[in-house]
Amino acid sequence: MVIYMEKFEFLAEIIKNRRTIRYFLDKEVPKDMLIKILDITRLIPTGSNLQDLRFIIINNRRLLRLIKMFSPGWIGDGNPIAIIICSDLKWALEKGGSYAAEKMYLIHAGIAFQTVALLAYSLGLGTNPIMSFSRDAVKAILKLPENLEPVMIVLVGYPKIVPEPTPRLPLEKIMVWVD
Amino acid sequence: MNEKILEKIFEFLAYLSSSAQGLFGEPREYGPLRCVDAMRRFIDLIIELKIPLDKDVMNELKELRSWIDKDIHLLMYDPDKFKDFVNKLTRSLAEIIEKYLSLSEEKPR
Repeated sequence: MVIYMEKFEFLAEIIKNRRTIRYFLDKEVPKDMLIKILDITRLIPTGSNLQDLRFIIINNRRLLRLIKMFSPGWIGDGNPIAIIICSDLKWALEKGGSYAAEKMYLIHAGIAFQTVALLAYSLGLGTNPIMSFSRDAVKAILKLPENLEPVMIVLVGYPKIVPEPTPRLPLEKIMVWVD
Repeated sequence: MNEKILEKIFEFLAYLSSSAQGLFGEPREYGPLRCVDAMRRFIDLIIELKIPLDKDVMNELKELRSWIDKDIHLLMYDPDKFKDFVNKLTRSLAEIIEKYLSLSEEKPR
């Protein structure tokens, strides 16, 4: 029981202290750290074990600048790497049906982001999930094949400014217990 | 053609275009947020393109920019305070325009 509580407390602290980082240092993120994070992230659960997500890591300044131009949600500066979380929608439709290709892939991307964010935080990195970006523009810039749909951009880097936590609704407002 | 200038111009246009695209499906408050951010980016453009403005006007614009930088994140914490900030920002801009722009006697368009 003690071991479970220790694990719980450890993970709870990570979740409580993670912040969305918008201002990053110029310090480069080591490639092996990113690989380590994504090697664990690929273990996330997906509906019907679909495994429809594909991760494109952009560590090219020119491409990052181009993508940033078409990402109104990318506010801040610094030298983060970008992980473009994509879903192979053709794969999702073939293996999981229309529900997978219309809804489930979004949930999978959300789970992937949270996993990346917590792992990154545990390694001293910060993350910023961006949903406000032009999917058309990113597809054009990266010359993505038709089957790959960019779902989320996740910036990963060393935090320069760590913001205060944003307000959260209390538990009693969001939970109903039914016996 | 100066590539840096072209990049800055395209950056601004891309921001406006992709904001327009995204706002069809984003929270209502993102509209004002994008407008205020566009103000900030436009002031940056003025500075980076070295548009020749009166020193006092430039200082006023830089102060506006710093103010936007400081308070734009209010939306995430307190949407009412963000709305208040937008109102005050607009009033300040009106005062700056009134102070520095000597409009001719021409009829409005």
